[in-house]
Amino acid sequence: MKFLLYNFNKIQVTYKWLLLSLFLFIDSYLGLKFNLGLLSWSNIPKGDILWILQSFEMFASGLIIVNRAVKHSQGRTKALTLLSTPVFIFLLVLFIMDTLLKGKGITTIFYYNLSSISLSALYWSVAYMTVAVGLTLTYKVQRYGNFAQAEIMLLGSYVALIMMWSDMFFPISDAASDGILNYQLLLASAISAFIICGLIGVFIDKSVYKPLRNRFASPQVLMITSLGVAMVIRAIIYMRFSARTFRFIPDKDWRLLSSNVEVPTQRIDLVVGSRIDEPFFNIVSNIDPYGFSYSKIALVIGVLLAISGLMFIMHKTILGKKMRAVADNPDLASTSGINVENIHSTSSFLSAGISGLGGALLAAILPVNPELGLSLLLPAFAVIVLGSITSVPGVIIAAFIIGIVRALSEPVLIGAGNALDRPTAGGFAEVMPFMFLIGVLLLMPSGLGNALHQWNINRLTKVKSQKKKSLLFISDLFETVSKLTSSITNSISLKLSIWESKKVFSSYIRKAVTYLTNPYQTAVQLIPRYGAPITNLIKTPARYLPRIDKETDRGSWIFFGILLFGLILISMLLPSVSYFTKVMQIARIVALLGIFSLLSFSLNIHSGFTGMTNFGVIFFAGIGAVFVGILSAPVETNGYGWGSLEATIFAVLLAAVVGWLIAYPTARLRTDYFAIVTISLGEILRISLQAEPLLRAGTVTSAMGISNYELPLKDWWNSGMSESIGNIIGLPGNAPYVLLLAILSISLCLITWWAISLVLSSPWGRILKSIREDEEVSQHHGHNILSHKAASLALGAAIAALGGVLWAWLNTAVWPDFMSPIRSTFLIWAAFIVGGKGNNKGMFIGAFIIVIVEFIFNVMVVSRSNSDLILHPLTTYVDKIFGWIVYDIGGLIWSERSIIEAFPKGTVLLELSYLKLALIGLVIIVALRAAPKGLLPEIPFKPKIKGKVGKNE
Amino acid sequence: MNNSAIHVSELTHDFGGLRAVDNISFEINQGELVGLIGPNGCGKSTTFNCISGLLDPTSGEIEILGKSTENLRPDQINNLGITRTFQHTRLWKDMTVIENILVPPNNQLSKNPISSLIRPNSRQEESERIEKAYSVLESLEIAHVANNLAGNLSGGQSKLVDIARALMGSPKILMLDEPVAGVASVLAEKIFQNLRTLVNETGISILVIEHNMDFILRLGVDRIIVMNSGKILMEGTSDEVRNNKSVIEAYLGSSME
Repeated sequence: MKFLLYNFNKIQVTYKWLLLSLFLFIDSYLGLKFNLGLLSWSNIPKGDILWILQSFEMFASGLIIVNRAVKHSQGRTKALTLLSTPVFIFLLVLFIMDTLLKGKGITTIFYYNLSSISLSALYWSVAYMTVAVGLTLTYKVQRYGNFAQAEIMLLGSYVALIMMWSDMFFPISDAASDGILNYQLLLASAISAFIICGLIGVFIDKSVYKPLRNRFASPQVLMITSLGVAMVIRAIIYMRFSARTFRFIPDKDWRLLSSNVEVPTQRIDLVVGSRIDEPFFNIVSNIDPYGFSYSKIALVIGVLLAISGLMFIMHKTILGKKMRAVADNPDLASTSGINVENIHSTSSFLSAGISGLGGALLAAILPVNPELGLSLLLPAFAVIVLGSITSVPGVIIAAFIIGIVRALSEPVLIGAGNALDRPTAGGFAEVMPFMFLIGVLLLMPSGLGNALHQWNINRLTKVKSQKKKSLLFISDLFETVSKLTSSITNSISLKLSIWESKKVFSSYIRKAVTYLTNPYQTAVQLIPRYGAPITNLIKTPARYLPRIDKETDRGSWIFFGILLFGLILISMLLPSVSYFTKVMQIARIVALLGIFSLLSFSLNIHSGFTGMTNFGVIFFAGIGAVFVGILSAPVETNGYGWGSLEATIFAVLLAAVVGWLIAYPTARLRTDYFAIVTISLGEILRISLQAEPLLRAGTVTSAMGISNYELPLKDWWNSGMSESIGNIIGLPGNAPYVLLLAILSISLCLITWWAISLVLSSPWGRILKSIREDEEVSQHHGHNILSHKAASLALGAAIAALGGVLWAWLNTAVWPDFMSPIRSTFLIWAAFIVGGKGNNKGMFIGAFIIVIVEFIFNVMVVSRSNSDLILHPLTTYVDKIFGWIVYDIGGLIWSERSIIEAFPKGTVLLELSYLKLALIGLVIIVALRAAPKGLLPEIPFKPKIKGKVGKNE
Repeated sequence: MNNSAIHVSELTHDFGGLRAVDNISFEINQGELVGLIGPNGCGKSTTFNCISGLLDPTSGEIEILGKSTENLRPDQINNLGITRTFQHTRLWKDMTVIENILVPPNNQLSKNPISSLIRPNSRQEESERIEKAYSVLESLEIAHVANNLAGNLSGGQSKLVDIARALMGSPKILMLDEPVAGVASVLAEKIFQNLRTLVNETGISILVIEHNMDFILRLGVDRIIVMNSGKILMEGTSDEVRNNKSVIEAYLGSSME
């Protein structure tokens, strides 16, 4: 034995890995085919889980081989290995399916209709490009990942809808099909979407990002701000167009089944599983041609034209040169006489414009609703990461690759899904891009564009660079256009300066224009002037109070106390119908406060202390909720019948393990990649909840979701406890179960708070902070940053999972929309920013504010129909303003038809939950600019040593 | 026994097509204070980066206290007993100076979440560490800024904090990249004297990059390695370097003969 061990230690690492993968492969092969492997013997996993685990085992063995091959090859071989990786993985998947189905004695066929596959790959890749190219441009020039890009695209779709409903174009859209394709509306929509979205892009850049740029905000801050912008835009779309799904019909003829190009095709049938006499694959040639609809052609042509125009500008004109110069080094560019701000506007115009154009064209194909954005944003991020972020050609190639991945995976998913009793497996096609992205990040973190770049350098060092004529005329033209479009504010004030010589109200108008285009400045200038009496009123008592230094331990606690008191007061004052409902309300507030605080603590560990931008809070919370639900649901309804306590412990530990594991492929990544990966993981879990039967439990039919799981201590509560507590607090009947949950939640929250404050004030907490500040330096001081990040991820994940478990208990069911980030992750981010990163007291306050806002809005919704409630006047007033904006102001822009379409009942009502979304988005944007440290900032560590108290200089 | 602290043999590093370090070999013995000088862009910092593991050498071998650094991460190399500073001071800016200094010691207990929850006597340990940190700060005359945020310090103070942070990890070998650039010259000389005493008393080895040749010549380094365009121009004592023609040429250009 010793001898064996000794020899094993001498083997190179690579061979150890290869041995392991060989072992895994053989084990899983035996398991899948003959039910003989280790997992089968252990007899722990049963049924579907067994083969899922075994397939995963085989897949992992394949990935290890790929990983090792990539690591050990160099130069040309490496490129070759990388290129052949997708083929290898595809074959691996086929092999896994074949073995699995042979073991089960089933056969299935994957139908590969060649034209259909390649054309839908083209169509999907172009759809991804509409967002991805805009993202790339923003990354290149403004240097941040813009999470609002998909919303801009969505605005383009809605511009198209408004155009369709306009008095001018509606007759065309509405006319009966006459066999003639009318393209005026499509063309007009595309062009106006380009211009309008472009202008909106410039406006957002000037009003939101420019002040941040001037303050040298980090790309991370810009990225989080863009999340706020995305929330605001999405909320506005929701408010104006409701959640209804619309179709953009450029002309009825476009929608005819016959409006397509017929492409002759052949089909390859891959027969997988227990086939007896059949060959592995058939080529079927006598099948109907594939129809590629005209609207898809319009999308492909329109977007590709726009992108080639962009490439032309970037590489052949002086404007493009300037843009690249600013992208390279803004300071240097500005000293060489380039107006950096103008370049920023031009690039935001172009990036928003192209996305808008794509959105308008896409609206003719896909049904449009406000959720369309996110489903394209994440694949687009996958595309730009694969294309290595700043390279437009890289993005185009990457989009094609990801489109092909999606198109190729669909037949496998559908075929395998049918064979394995999973008819909904086709839904996974949507997440294939993210899965692919995670795979890519494992294999080549620097992306495809980097490889292109390297190759280009090699080429350039070999080939003598040729002088290229710069096309002066066209560059001048673009220059003029850009100047015109980019500084629309400047031009307005320029014209006004002519007025000024006439001294006709000019100064007022000028001020109005600047105020309108720069809301923040407005606030800064107007509030002191007109709000002076009010602010003085606030300041006067503040003068007599001792000044609280929030950055000391004591001051922080005092301020925390004041805020807490205020928030408790508000929650006490919230109106409610009866004493019983008031108790319910408070209990729910407390329970949610505990849950949201736990989630915020988790985010604080990940992002506030370790500096990893985690946009997947709900992913970890979801693990907790889903597993506790499934494990403690009754066995008869697809659950496992565990007790709540065991299920909770299991779910929390599982989340910790998952957090630990995902650290290894992802924690090396740049902070923005990490954000993308975590938000994608949340989406993967959401779609799995929709499509995977194993993740359904609680009802016999179990159409979707998890419900009817055991709630902790419910029997104990109902057998007497509820009654006596009800008596104690003077309720007419039994105390509601929510009260117990509230106590449970808040006490778990406080215990966790105490525990993590111990942990984070230890040397480990300091190491985490040093990783946040500059991880390379921490590494040079001997700290293994990867393992520290993994530990931080695991700890935070466990805490988030605990929050998720509590949330699942409070909701009593977990539906797929539980995973929607706008209901959780983004709220937690708002709490995190408002509360003050790096300070758990701030997290608690931030969570409290978010919860209170939620309840205030609930009360507003109720008060709309009840004139007795205190918030009724406010609600009516908000509705009135909204109606005024939609009818009287908006009526100048859009037709009445567009209003009726969105509000078919005839009354224009503001959906308050979307107003809340917009407000929270605004809070993120404003807080990041006005008070980046939050309400309760991080307290610097200042130890007191006897006789050596540090004096400040 | 082998007495070498750092052993570099045939080290080469390429940036794309540019050869920054070209096949250099040198050795630093234990208990030696060695200066590494050379004009801008001669490969001093690249050499440092290769030794500390920030960059992977294109070819060549590096041994720290007799152990090869091949395939090791920077933290593993640091754990062999070597600590470096960076040319452009990189402090953890949103942390106080004292906190900056307290991060490095890698032998700290409770440096993972579980042990920091269950260790009862870490408070004692912590106050001992803080005492030590103050004494290090005092030796560099910056104890008065201990409670300031590191981001608010002046350039010279940052340099000193960086040195203090490096010393706090009790390294056996210290690599300082222009440690006194921007520090008042009186203090700078004092720092070098401190380093000298440190070498004499504790027997650690120090490798200093210094851009200012006069400065390093005046201070008592044991040996000077002069680099020029990726190669080692010469190695020798201060006097030998001072009188070497090719060194003067490299620094001042041949026209100054």
